[in-house]
Amino acid sequence: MDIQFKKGIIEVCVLSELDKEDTYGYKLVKNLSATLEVGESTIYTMLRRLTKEGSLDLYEKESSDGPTRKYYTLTGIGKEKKINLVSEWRSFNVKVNKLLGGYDE
Amino acid sequence: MNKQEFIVKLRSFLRVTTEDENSLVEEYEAFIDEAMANGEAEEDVIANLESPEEIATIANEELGIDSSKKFKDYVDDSFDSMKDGYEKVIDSDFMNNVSESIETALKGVGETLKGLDLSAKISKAMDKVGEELSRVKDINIDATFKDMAMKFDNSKVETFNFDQDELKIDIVDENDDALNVEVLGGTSNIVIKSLPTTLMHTITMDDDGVLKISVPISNIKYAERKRMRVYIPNSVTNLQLTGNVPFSIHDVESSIEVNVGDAPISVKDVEGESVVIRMGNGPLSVKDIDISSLEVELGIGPVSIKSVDGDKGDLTLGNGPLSVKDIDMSVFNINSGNGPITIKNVDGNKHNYSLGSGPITVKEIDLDELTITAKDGLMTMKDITVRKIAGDISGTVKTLKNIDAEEFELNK
Repeated sequence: MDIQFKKGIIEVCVLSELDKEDTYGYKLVKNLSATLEVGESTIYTMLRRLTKEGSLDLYEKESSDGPTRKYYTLTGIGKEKKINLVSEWRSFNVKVNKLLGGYDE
Repeated sequence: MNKQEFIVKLRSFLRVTTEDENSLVEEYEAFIDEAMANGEAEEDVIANLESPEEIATIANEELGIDSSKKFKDYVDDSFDSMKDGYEKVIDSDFMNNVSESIETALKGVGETLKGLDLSAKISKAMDKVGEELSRVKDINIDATFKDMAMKFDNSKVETFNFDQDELKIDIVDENDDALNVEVLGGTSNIVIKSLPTTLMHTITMDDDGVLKISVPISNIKYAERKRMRVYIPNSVTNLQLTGNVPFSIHDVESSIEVNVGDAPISVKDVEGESVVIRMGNGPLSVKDIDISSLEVELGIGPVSIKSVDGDKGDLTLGNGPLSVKDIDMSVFNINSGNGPITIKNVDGNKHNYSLGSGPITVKEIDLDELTITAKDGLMTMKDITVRKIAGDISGTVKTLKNIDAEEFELNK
């Protein structure tokens, strides 16, 4: 799969996961890598970039079974970005499936 | 590869801003810690991660300072001041005394900085400067660096003085048996890297005044007896040290946290909220301390605690020798294994000493309440003034004299 295409998909998935619930890096990496073939470095650098661009924010939370964790949360910018990307992805997905003949709108 | 080695390697390959580097490293440290907390072995966790080179390749591409706009931002933020600094260097008298090759290298950096789009050249030039500077015995650089990352081969003596920014770094090679780092203040973030195969130190100070100094275990051999002397600016409120290099910390007005393995540690002349020292084995020397709380935990001494004023102290020691002298502490709990143990000239309110085998000497004590348990060995107690003394002495009492206690509940 083209690396840029894959990065785009992963970005949607990261934002969607964080839209469901705030979570910490380790858990996010485990969740995503269990479904997608993605290395942790791709996710961590993406989290860093999304944080720097204002789509994500960070806060610390005590853990009952380990050290204090850094939790990622979607900002307003991030929520808007996620909505746009999911919409683009669904639209794109429908069109591709139409072309492939496996799906009717 | 263990966690420490993995992080050292990762840092060495990263070509991103210091903030990005620290953020990524923190995430990887957290990942490894989480996996280990879930029962995975350290080596297995690291073996299942991408290699430091692979991670850095992805990160450098995504976040790297070489990429166009990010690099431009980086340059705008920090390289103007860096350029000023280098121009001063080039103009300064010291250049007359150093080799032509260094002058060429530094001018190369100056030229490169004029063309800000030549990012790769800057990177190469910086490496070149590092190589060249390593051949110089004594260099003074005046500069203003807010955020700086430089790489040096410290096979030779290197001295860098960033006086304007009040940062002074002296790195002396193993022949001189010392590494000196002086941070006088004003610098918000400093990372010093040497080649992965030699020595790497990470020094960072965040906006809240927390200064962290980390020296990896694997890169310093105890036998080399290197010692890190740290002079801390007043702007630091909390000093955190990790690593296995011997630390000598003195003249500090901040809280201190030391987490190290087996290494000689010396802490002297400290005024702050707290001093926390957790280490493998000593020797440990704590002297002339004025703080609220003292917490010391280590395996085997020798341990010397002298001239300490504070509200509360906790000392946990596997085995001595232990010497505690000239203490003014309201509450002090000492829990030590075998001696020899000496506790002398102590003032305070409520102290609790739980001691193993002797010989044990407790003398010149002035407290409200003293509870003392000693399991074995020769015990000497004298010149003790307390409202109440209690406890249990199982060993042989060699001397017990001048005990002035309103309530005497000591079993012996």
